[in-house]
Amino acid sequence: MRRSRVLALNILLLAGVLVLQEPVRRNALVLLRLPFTLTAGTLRVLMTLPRLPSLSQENERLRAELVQRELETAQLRESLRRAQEDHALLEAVPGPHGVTAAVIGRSLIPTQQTIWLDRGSRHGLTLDSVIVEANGVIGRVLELHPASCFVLLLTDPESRIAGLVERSRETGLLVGRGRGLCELIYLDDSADIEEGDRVVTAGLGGPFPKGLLLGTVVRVFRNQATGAAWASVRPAARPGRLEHVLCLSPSP
Amino acid sequence: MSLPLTVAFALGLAAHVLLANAFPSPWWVPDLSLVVLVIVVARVPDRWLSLSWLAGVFKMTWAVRFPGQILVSTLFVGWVVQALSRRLDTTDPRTEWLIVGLASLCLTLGALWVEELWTVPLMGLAVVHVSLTVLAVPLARQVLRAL
Repeated sequence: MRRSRVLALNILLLAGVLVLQEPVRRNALVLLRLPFTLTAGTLRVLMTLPRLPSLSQENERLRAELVQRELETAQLRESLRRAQEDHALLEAVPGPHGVTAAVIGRSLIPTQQTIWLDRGSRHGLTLDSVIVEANGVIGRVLELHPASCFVLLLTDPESRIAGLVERSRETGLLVGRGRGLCELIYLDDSADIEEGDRVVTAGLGGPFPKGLLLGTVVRVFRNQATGAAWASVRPAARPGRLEHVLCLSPSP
Repeated sequence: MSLPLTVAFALGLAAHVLLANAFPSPWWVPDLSLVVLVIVVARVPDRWLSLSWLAGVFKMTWAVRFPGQILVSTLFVGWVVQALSRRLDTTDPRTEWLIVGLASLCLTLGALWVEELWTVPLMGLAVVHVSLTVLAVPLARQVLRAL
């Protein structure tokens, strides 16, 4: 009776060990290794003690080096991000390439939606040079200086750009309204335009080449009495979040 | 003019530029140039002309339209503040709030009028702009006190 109980216990233990062999083995190894670990650790400490002053110096040097490397990494990451942005800008525009510029200021006057760029006539810009970013058109150069320029954003009330509904080829005039949205006006009451339509530049005169993305229609208004329609358009580019832009060279 | 007032004036103009760069729309940026102009002229009314010129030219450089109107309106605000300071205590917080609020309201409505931008959304944004400008007054006073 007693033997069978011991046997059962052994079988149970064996099964337990087999099922839990990995953690059991790991813990057993830790226990087995403990005396050796303790001895080796003590020996290492004893051997390290005479080298402590030089180790401390080396530690400081390595810390300084680590900080230096971290700074370099951060700079490289920033350079990479800038390069990717520039690349995206150049990829976004199929036609003429231009110069990239950084946004160095924004308007202080609420009713005037402008940005200030760090490129000017010295860099080949002219009045009415078209300014774009990877998402779409931002505006055009309104005021030119040798090393800087003011750009009139397409949301400014004075901005007028001939627009074209990409899907239906309806044309209208995209005007700024002094806030986040623009309006596509001079549309016919029966114009084929609906929410979600993309509006691109029509290329009808003016400085803007055809086919640059202006924005997306968010709402259409139709007035049957006057036979006119207009649409609210959300600009594709986000002027408030711009850092770098592309200034297109004027067409020859 | 004392150094703290000069520093406060310069800080106000610099902060206005920094905030304009940080916010997505100029409507959300309080008119700190106006706030510091009112606060400083209220304390040194004799310097209203030079201070108004500085603030006016500063704002004018950012204007692509109506720069003259912006300069003249800023000079007018400076003149009004110095004229009021001879009759009542313009350094009183409530008076400062009132002057800044009225000046900001007049300048914003004037800008909407000359630009012919009478739409409901823009009126709402104008209210936000004026409110933010008024709310910046106690902050500017605290900065001035700290200096």
